[in-house]
Amino acid sequence: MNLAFLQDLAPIGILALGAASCVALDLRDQHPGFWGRPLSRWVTLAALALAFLASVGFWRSSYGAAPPDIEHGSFLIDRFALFFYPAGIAAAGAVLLCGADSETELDPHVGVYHALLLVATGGVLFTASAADLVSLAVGLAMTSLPLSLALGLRKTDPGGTRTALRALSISAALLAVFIGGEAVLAGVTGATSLRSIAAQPLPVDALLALSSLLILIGAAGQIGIFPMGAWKVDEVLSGPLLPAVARTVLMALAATAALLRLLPGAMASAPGDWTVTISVLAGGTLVGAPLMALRARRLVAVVHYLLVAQVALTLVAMTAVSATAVAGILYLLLGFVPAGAAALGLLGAFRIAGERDDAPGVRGLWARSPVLSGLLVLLLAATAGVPPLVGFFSRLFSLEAATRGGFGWLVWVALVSGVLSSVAAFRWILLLFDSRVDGAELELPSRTVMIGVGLCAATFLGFVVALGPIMGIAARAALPPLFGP
Amino acid sequence: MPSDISLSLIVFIPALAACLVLVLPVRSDLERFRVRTAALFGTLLSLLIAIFDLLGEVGNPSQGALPQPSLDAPWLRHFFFQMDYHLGTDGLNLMLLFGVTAVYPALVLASWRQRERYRTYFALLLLTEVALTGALATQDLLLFAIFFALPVVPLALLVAFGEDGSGAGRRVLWSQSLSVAALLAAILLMLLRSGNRTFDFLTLSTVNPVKGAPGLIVAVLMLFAFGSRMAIFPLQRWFVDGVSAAPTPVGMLLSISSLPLGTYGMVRVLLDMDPAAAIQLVVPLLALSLVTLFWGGLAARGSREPRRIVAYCLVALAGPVLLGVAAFSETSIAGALGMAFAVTLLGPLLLLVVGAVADRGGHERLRELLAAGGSSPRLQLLYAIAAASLLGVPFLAGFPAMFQILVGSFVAHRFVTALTVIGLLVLTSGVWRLGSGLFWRRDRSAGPEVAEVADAHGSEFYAGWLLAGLLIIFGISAGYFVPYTVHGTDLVAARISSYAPPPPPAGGHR
Repeated sequence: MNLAFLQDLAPIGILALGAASCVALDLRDQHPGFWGRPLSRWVTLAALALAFLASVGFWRSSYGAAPPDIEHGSFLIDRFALFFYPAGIAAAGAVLLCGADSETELDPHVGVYHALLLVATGGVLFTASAADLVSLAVGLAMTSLPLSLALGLRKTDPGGTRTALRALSISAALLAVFIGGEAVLAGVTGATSLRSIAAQPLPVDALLALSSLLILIGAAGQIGIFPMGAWKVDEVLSGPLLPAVARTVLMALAATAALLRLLPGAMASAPGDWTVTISVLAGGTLVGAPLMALRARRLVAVVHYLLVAQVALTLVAMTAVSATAVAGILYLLLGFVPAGAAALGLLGAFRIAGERDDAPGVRGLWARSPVLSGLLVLLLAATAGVPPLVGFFSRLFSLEAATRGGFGWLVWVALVSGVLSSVAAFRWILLLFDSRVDGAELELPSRTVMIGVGLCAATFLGFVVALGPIMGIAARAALPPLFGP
Repeated sequence: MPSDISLSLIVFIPALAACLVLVLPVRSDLERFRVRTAALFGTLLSLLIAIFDLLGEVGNPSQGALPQPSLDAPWLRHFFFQMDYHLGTDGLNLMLLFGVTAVYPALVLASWRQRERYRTYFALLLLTEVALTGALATQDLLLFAIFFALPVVPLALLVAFGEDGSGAGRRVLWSQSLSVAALLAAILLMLLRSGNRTFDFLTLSTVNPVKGAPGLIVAVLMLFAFGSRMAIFPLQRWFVDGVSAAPTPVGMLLSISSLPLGTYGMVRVLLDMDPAAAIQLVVPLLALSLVTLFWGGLAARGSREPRRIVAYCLVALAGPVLLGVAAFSETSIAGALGMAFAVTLLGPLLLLVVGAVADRGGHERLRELLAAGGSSPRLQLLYAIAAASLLGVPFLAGFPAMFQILVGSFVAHRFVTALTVIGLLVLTSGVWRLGSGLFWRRDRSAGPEVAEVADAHGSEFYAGWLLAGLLIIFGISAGYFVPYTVHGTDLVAARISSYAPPPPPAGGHR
């Protein structure tokens, strides 16, 4: 029996083993852990580090004009998948480090949370590696459902439990919608393999348009895209913040990977079936999310809406069916992940310290903690897309792609959205600097959180300085075809 | 290998100083002094490099035509377009770049008595220097747009730090965010329609521009973007409210961030990259020029607050600058850039003097400050130098610029130039009203008694003399600097004239 294929599953396998170990540790009596940290956090970090190294090993082999793609039926490791491997694992690492202080919200189920986080990370990798419609749906479910379950781990809070239940129900419903879209696509094309679908010259067809609409709502709805945004903010407002952060960041990666595989990948021959739908959804989100951010009364909701507005730019860029546009989307995701993880993680630590994140709570924060405020200002500016931070370049790339795709009106919408986002962010930045309020000096979050946030900030600043090389990597990952060798 | 890193040092040394300022402690007076000193050294270091490395080039006027020294490193290659980290100076930007680096030490000196938010204030101030010098030094359009956008949030924050500055800060943010959005839209449209993949100024100034309706839309968007930054009518409110509500040094900063950068963008981007459409906009440009000049001048006459009067005077100056731009001759464009350079020096100086009187007098209304500076000879002299330079009195930096604008425009637009001269007389009356009110008018029957304010001294005195000295030096030695600028504007004017419609044949009409 040839077991060589097991090495190709190494990153996902390592994550699965790590998840099992975390569950086992959680079942044991409470252990003080190493250096005062829970043992399962060390196990999770070790699993992520090993999986990351394995992924980088694969990535090195992807150099060359015709890289040796690995394919096992529904599972494919190509350059596109290998881009998401380290990105997804690093995203989980960022969530783990930046949210270290918020883990106390989940006591005594931290080990279960770590296990669910690893499973969801595996889901991202699986989605990126999907070569057919079934594995795409499985990947999305692996990412979405565990983190919805994790939202219910704060069992002492009835509100949190209700939020978790709602998140789980809506996630499941959206998955059903996604699968429904895939079913229609399979029915029209007579195939479930992405390569077979891509090989067919698809017509402009009402059923295909319906299929793409369902796929878009099912996948992009998971990350709060219009008109599915209203329920998402409840997660960050009333649920435990940590699973909500992980869901926001990891689902953005998984949903984008799924959409890229399906739309500019498998359905590239019939862009007329889905580009109009995608432009409407993107336009609605680009306007709606910053407006909601302007209305929001809590900083965590503002950050959430600004992040949703950022993710909507991926849809804007998808309107141009080209490898260059896909490269722009991948760059956007690379910037989105550290900014989102750090901003929400920092706010989680703020909440755990007993501070309020509404206007009276953050007013004058600068005088109480310049470091915390400075980081918040940087992250707010990054999520709003203020130049010359990474969000600005992402917006620029998306706008360029939309104009190339023939959706000039989206450019105007995205520009207005940028202005609204800046104003929404600036209102809160002004509050941070309000000198009329004074209070006791605020202690910094734990060293783990500061290391995580510092690494994230350095990463997204580094992505600006090293724009050329990073785009080079993204461009290599985006080379067509996205569905196989 | 980069051929020269001096420009990068000029641009990014303030960024390093800002980082240093942010980590320095501020618990005692000595530690606060260190913060100020670090900021001052950061700005002085940039200025020294600019003096030794940039001003030497002016001796060879022919170098004004092409960017020198030039550092061109690829930054982005794997996308629809290419972007370079490309810095260089030529006749269009060298003087402005020098002016901005020269003003910042004066800004830090003027901020010497800053008491609140020590580190944040100086860090944001230094960040704006990075943005302004970067925008002026870059030779890549997208990099220019990034640097053009960079100072918006710091400026809005600095304005908002003032008492009752929150509304003004928000207005700065809104108006300038829209300005940046318009510039980005124009760039995207230009790139898409022209089919170019590069943002390099030199390349874009030699290829065919976008023609027809898209070209006109690009030009209108750019006019909005740069006009808003210049604070021309009717986009001036953010500037006037900002100067009025912000602390004096921040008002000074606004004056160098507005007209100089907007004018440079108008010449470098609108005229050089989209000349065909710019020609179509000549009538709106001339109309805006006159309306801005008269509106600013009359508002300066009618306003009751000294800071607002100065702001309106600076708004009015955008009128002649627009005339210089719209005349499309090398002399008039050089005059517009020269006036932008003069404003980098005289704007801060005017606001320094007027702010000193208003701050020490403790009042905001002119009638409550009548003759408050009557026994302050240093302030009087500094005001006289700034006002005279603003009005184009010989031997000061404003004179060669105003002279070039009027002479260069007279041939093409005699009527408008004549009206501009009348507008300048209106502006003169506004400047006179402010000066006589603050320093010389002794009749105080109309208002409450105000103690005469103390004269300029210490850091304020040094800041004032630095600016006044530069106004005099550049006014006297204009013959040394102007040819260099004209060599840069020569190419812009030639490019525009190549797209101008041919003149009607002589005797063609009866």
